Amino acid sequence: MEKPSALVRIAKVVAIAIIVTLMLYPFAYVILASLTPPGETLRFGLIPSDWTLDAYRSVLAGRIIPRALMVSVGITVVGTVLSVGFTTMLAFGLTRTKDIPGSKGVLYVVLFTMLFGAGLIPNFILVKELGLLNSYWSLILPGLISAFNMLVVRNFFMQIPAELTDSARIDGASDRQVFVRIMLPLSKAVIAVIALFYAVGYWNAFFNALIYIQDTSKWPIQLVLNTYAVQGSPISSIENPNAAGSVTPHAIQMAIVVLATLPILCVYPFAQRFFTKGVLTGAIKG
Amino acid sequence: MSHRFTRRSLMAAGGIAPLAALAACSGESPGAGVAIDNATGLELPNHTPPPEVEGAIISDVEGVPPGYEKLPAELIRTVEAPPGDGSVVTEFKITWDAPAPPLEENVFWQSYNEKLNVDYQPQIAPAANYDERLATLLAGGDLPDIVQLLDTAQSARAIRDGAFADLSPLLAGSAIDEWPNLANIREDQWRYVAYDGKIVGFPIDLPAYNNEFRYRQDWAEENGYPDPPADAEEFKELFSSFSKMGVDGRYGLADAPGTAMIAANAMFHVPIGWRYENGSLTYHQETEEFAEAVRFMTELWKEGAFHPDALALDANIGQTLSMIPAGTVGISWIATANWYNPGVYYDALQEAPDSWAAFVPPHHEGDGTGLFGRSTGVFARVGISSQAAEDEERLKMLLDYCNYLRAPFGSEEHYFLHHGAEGDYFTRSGGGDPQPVEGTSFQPEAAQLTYGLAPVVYDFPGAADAIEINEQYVNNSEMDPCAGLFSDAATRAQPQLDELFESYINQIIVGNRPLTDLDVYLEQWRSRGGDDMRTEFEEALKARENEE
Repeated sequence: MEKPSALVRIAKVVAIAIIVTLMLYPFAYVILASLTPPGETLRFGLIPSDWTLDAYRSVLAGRIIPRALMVSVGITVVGTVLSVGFTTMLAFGLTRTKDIPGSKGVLYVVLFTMLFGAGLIPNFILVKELGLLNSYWSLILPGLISAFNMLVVRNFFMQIPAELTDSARIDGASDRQVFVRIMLPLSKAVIAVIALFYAVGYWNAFFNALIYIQDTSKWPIQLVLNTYAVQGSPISSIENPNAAGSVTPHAIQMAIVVLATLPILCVYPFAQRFFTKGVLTGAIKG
Repeated sequence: MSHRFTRRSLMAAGGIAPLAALAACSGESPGAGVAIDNATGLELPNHTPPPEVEGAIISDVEGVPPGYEKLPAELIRTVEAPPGDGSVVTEFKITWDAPAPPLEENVFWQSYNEKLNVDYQPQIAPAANYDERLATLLAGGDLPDIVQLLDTAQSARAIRDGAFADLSPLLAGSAIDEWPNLANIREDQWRYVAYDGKIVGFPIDLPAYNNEFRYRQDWAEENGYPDPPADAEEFKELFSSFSKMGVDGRYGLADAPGTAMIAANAMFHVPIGWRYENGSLTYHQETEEFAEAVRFMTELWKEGAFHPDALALDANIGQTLSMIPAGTVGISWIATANWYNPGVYYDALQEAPDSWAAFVPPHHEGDGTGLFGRSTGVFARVGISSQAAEDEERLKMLLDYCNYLRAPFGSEEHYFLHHGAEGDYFTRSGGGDPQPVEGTSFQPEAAQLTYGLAPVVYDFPGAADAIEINEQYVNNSEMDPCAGLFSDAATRAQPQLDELFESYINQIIVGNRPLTDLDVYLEQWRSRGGDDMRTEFEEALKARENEE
């Protein structure tokens, strides 16, 4: 294939640089605005003339944000572990629809959920009748298994040579042993992918918390963020009297946005090496 | 203007939400297409004025809150015994505040439970998501004891379906004397919480005009404007000059249509809600005055008075409000009390006393003041669920509880609800002013818990000034002639009419559409529900006139 000309390469670089800048600018603005002291502005919308960490000190000194962060971390960790576990188990069980009676029906039921949702009220009634209202489990159990993620894992499992599992069974391995000792170790890439998908989903959980959690002390960070950044709740509620005058409400709102986004961003680099491979190999059959 | 539940959106001139009286068409199904006045046949509870308090500033203008610059030396007691019986009291309530600390960390909550002898368990709905929370609450079928009901179709349906108790037998006429604090509620307010001639809740108080305009007087003086704008032209020059001061990030006006539209509507005397003449209704957007106001808004935009992201700011109330204490906008329109009670706006004013000055938008030609929208005096309704009311003893306990919350200014109960127990957040000796206790913060722990039935008063130093300004607004205000009426068509069509407004009016203001598109907008408004609303409201108004 002919190498592109220098002009074309330069044009590509410029186009990519513009796209990257447009994508990074809002995030950079949020971070820099959170560091801007009162009376200062961001030159050209981005360059701070001075900076301070007072917004973060103010936010983390209060009780609301740290508690909400802990709630979100807990839900994300527990939810991700359980979701990955149940999703992979279901996927493994559905790889042998020819052998296991009724498994095809289960597969169709799972596929059906991808096409139709029950809606707000039926889901609420279901969660309520299960006694999960105002419980952290209401943020985990209703979305425990994603049909899409399960299909991705199932496709990946089906690409693992049957000879491996057959030979293990011949050697006396049970289904559990095949699952734990053969399927899972060979599926690190796709497991990393779905773990990241689940983690992001649980971390960003807002609407379920709004509907199912009545006790505000159990609100996750996204719901608290909504209160401050979207609804415009009074910033003095951050409860740090020492911060009065040393931070602007806008800086505090941006600091909360950063704190709500940062943890999940930190997880991604660890999963990245699995990510590309996992997305492709789980999606392509053959 | 989007249909969002912010305090500001509900106060907007021309859009003040009449509290929903409900389609009580003797069993007709939803969508009957009739607007009904549901105060007909209502037997009003007796009204008892609140107790006189030393130092009270009572305005002659009805609807202006009473003012108290300081607490009376001696507080009266209005409740002899704790209202509760030690049981759980659940309440669904709306909030604009950040989450309160949980019970085990919340000193106020603990003393609240002790003082009222209840185990108070609120269910909090953020204002921005009130609709969804209420929908699930009603669908779940297990209502809390007390529910704060905003003026929505859902609330209307729930009340019509009997989800909330008819309190008339216990409150009508002299029966209310058993609950003297509830008897302080004005007769006009009872009208707006009625349904089919029955009392189905208590009003959450609202001043006749809740907000006030302020502008950056220091910037104005710097630009050669020593006085507030005297007419629309000066308004335009003044706020445009703020954007041209060469200070990065500083603008005269923030959101569009937003605050500027409210001011423009006032200056051009746009009718409030509807104009009712000779049995016919004209929607305020159909009037010449509104067309002039929109034209004026386009001029403001062309002069550069607005923030470049004005349309986006209109959808982000949080960011818009944060511009006020941040000092990046030259105009504000927020609740009067915010400037006098400790908080970000009060703090901003204390730091720069010459900054924010109150002003009343003038008539556009300088011929007097603007025209402002007067509220019904009711922001929302507090209902007691029918489930809770099945047990008459429990119902009476809940009425005692609501009676406590409605305690007037100058009472021990009111003091507790606004300052906490003695020594927890404030100390008060010898009848003097409460002094804050260092290291404590009352508002974050209590505001969310106590919002609701407390009567609106101006209880802060400077109340006299606040009243003087408020009188100017109320004296130049009119109420929507359709206040107190409910229209099925309005409820059905409102979301798409809001979108239509954003597609046309917002875009006209910023120059993306010509001014002539206003006619196109009005045609579509009429065909997409506006004419149906008009018909329903006209019938209801005629019916109301016949009753009188």
